[in-house]
Amino acid sequence: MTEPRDSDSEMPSFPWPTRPDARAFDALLSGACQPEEAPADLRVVAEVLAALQAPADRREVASWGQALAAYRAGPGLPEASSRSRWRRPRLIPVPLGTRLAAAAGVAVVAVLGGGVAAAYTGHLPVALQRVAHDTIAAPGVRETRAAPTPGGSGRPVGPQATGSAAYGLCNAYQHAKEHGSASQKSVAFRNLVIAAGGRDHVTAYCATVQHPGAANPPGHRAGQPSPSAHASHHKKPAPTPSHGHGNGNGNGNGNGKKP
Amino acid sequence: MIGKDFAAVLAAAQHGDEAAFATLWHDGQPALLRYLTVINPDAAEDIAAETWAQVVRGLAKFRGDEQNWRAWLFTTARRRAIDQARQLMRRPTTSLETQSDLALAELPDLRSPDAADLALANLGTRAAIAVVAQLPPLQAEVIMLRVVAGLDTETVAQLLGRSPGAIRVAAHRGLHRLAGLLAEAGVTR
Repeated sequence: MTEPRDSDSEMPSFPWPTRPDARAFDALLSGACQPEEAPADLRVVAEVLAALQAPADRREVASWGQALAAYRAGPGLPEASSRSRWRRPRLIPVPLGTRLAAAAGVAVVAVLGGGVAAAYTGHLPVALQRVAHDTIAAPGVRETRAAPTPGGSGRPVGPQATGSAAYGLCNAYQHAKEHGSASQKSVAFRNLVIAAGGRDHVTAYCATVQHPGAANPPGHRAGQPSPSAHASHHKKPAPTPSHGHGNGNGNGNGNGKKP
Repeated sequence: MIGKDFAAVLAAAQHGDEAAFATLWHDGQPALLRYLTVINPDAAEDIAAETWAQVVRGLAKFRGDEQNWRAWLFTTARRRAIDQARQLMRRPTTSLETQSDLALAELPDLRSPDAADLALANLGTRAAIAVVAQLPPLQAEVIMLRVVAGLDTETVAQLLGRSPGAIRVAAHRGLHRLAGLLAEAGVTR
C-alpha cells in the first residue's frame, strides 16, 4: 500500500538460488520449518515468525459481537426464515399431538435443566411458552409477552375455590391427600383451603360442594366423590342413563344435553 | 487455517449458519488484525470491522477454496486500508508515517536497553508485530501476508500488483533484515 523501498528495478539478477539462506527463508515463509528445525543463525527469526502466528488473545476477538451483528444483518445471506437459527415462531395452527410433544419437550428440558432451563426463567420464545402454558399449565411457565396488569402482582392466582371449580378441586385435593402429593401446596389448593376456612375443614367443605353439571344424580351424593370418581377423576364421565335417550340397543345415543 | 472442512464451513456460513460464520471469523480475524496493525496500526480494528462487514455482504456469492477465501479477505482489508490512508493523507497534520511511528512508540521498543536482555521465549505476538513493523513497508507487508495470512507467493503478488519474483525478493530481504534488527536489539534465544 505504500511505495516499496526495494522496487523491481533494484532486483538483482535473481541471485537467491545461489544464496545459502534462500531455501531456509522459503521454508520459514511457507511454514514448513519450525523454529527448532531452523538453522542456528535464523532461529531467532523463526521464533518471531512463530510468535506472529500464535493463537488469538482475547483482545483480538473482542469484536465478535459486532461481526455477528453484521452477519445477521447481512443482505448477502439467504432469507432469515431459512437460517438455521433465529427462526420465526410458527404462526399457523399446530396439531394437538405436536403441541403435546412440544410441551413434553419443554417439561423435560425444564426438569433436566435443574432450574436453569428456559421455561423456569421465563425466557422461552413466546410461541413455545404459549404451547407449554396451554397444554400443561406448568407453574412458573409464563408468557413473557403478557403485560402485567396494573394492580396485579404477576403471581398466579389459581381458580376460585368458591366457584364452579370447587367440585374438581375437591376431587383433586382428595386424590392428592391420599397419595401424599406435594401439589397440595399449589395455588389452587391453597385457595380451596382458604375457601374451606382451614385445612381441617376442607373435607367438610367439599361435602357441601355440588357437581356443577348435576343437581343430585341418583345414587351419587353431591360433593361426595364416589370411589370410581375418585379413582378416575380425570376420565370422562360415563353417560348417565337417566339423562340420555338411549334406544335400548346399547349404542348409547345420548343427546349430550345437561339440565 | 480451517483445512479440509473449509468447503463445508463456508457453505454453511453462506446459508446463515452462525456457528460456521464464527469458525470463519475466528480463523481469519486474528491474522487480519495483525496484518492491519502492521500496515495501518492506528485504524486496524476499524478497518477489520469494515472488512468483515463488506465480506458478509458478498459472502453468499463467494466461490473458491480456502486460499481464495483468505486472498479475498486480505484484499478487501487492504483496499479498506488504502481508502483509510487516503483520507488521512488529505489531512495536513497527519500522515501514515506519523501514525505508524506513534503506534509503534506504544509497543515494546526492541532497541531500548531493556530489550537487550529480552529472551525470545518472552517475545509475544505484539512484540513480534512491532519488530516486523520496523521493516520497510513492502517487506513488512509481504512477510505478514506470507506468514500470518498464509498466502503463497503468487497470491501475494496478485494482491500487491507485483511480480512473484519481486515478492520473493522482498520477503527474503525482509527476513534478512529482521535477523539484523533482532541481533542489534540483542534478542537472544
